[in-house]
Amino acid sequence: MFELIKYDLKRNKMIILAFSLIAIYFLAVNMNYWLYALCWMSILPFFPLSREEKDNGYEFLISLPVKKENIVASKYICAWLITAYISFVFFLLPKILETLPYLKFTGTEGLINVSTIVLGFAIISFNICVLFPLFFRFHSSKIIIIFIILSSMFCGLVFSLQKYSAKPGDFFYGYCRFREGIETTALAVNGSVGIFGLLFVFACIIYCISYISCKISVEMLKRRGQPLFYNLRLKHNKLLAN
Amino acid sequence: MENILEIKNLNKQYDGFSLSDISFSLPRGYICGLIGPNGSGKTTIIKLIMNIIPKDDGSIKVFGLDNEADEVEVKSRIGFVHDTPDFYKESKLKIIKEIVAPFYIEWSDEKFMGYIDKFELPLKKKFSSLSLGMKMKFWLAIALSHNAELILLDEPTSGLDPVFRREFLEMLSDIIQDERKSVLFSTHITSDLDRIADYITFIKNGKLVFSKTKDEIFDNYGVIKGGDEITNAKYENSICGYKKTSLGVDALTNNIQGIKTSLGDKAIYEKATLEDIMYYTDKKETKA
Amino acid sequence: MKIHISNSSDEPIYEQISRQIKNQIISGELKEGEGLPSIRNLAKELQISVITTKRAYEILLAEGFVDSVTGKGTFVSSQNQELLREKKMKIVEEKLTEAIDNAKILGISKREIQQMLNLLYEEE
Repeated sequence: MFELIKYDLKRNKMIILAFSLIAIYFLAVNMNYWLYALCWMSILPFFPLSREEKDNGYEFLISLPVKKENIVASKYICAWLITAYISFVFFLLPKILETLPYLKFTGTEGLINVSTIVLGFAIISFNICVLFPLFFRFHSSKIIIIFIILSSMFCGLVFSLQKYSAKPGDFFYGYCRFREGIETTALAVNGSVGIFGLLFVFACIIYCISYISCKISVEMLKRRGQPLFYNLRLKHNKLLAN
Repeated sequence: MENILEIKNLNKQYDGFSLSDISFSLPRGYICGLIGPNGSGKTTIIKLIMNIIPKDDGSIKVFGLDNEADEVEVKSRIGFVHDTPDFYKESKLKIIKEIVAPFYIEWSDEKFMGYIDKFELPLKKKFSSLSLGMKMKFWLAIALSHNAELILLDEPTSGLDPVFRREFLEMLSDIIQDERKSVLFSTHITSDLDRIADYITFIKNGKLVFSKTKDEIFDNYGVIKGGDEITNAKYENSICGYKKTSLGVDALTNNIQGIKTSLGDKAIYEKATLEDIMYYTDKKETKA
Repeated sequence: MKIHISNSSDEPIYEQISRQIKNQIISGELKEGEGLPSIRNLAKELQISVITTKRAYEILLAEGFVDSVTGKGTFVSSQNQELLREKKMKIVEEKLTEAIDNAKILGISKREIQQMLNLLYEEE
């Protein structure tokens, strides 16, 4: 399994780098563009999947003496490693760059706070936990293009809404409320232990959802290439035969 | 010794194609050729054995183990070559080997390098830069380097030149010098099998036509050429297919001794090749 | 041991093999106790199916020309001289019967055959 992860990261390192540079460009233009940069980067965990598909890798991996559970798990672990990398680019790198005086990098408080971390992980978790099973089941190369288009549209929408002041009913209003809510919860839970505790609970929830998603993905991989509703049809046919 | 492969009542349905009730076995120490026209289901059967696609019904036992329940153990003892092995084509051969090797407990670098030298494969080159023959040789080298007991090949010789095809068949002969090992390969190039195959399994339109030893086939099958009486109802049981033209009837029989005694001098009798068998089976063609 | 098989002949391959080995044993080319190649080896050398060579060897075993020793292989069995002579006679008898049958079909008389036999024998 570790070989698979290693190879996945190696194969995709160019695209990871390219995406990171684009994201940093977004941030450099305007720290407030972090949402777009984040959406952009949140596509990264999918690349090992679509690359594998391009290489006809699934059929090959399935013919090796390796459990499908391990194939899927390697992709998930890879995805979370990429997420850790994204976290570094978004939340640690700006802090580091801020300390370098000649770069005049500022405004990281707008970027690095509990709500952006939570929102960021929520978006990435959604991508990984909800969308991965679909990628394992169906041919993903088209899905990914649609996904990029939708993400860009989402970001465009948010950007245009930002122009208006936060009023009840529009998205940014909802986001501001969400942000306030997170910060209130964080303050209510006293001190840094509280925040870490909150993040720990959050991490556990993500782990559980990820685990369930992984199990579903294994079943999806088993049905890859088969017609829709394969199992249902099978049961239906067996009932007819009896 | 148990059979190395036992397939019983295998069924698989797709839209527009179905594999129905396939049953055959392969004992240890022999070569079996899986023949049939394109689209008859040979690749599907092989993928079902490897559990690359799920089966609808039936049982597949390899080395006495269930191919789904003991998937990993079964696969570790099979040397498998796909029909179009274009995996990781942008990678160097060396890298591909480094991905594959750790999965096999009995991987032998010595054996692998032996094959690399024998086939003269450039390890440092990218897979996509190789010719078709070299690609096949590479995957064959991988398949033979982990002490596999069953060598499973999907159309290994299509697209290869006749010289290499012969060498390839010699390699397969070499493999079964060890009588615990068997080879199963699918092909539509029947001349390959006319020589070295021990068993022939013929699939047509998703159905099993027969699975017999080659001797049994050639003892009983034959081509008869004669007049219209061949297509009479009284010979129906012995005639598998025929082609009628204005010049006469060419037919395939699976009971050449029986037909000889019935028809006698009224027809010419010839040995049937596997190609004849594939061509004439189920054919009922009448050309004016 | 020399074996040549013809794919275009009507005679089944296993018969070609067993016949050729038989003849070599009878003529003394293959000596008593001499080892034959394994069925797999033979199949590989001749590029034919193992089942065919197995069948050829089974015929030879059944007719007493060879012995099989488990773990060691197949060997030419000790040939009883009487039996050997009998077998040789049988082969010639078969061939002569075939020639006589053909002659009868073609309408050649017994005297003509005898003349032919004398001529051909002198030629050899």
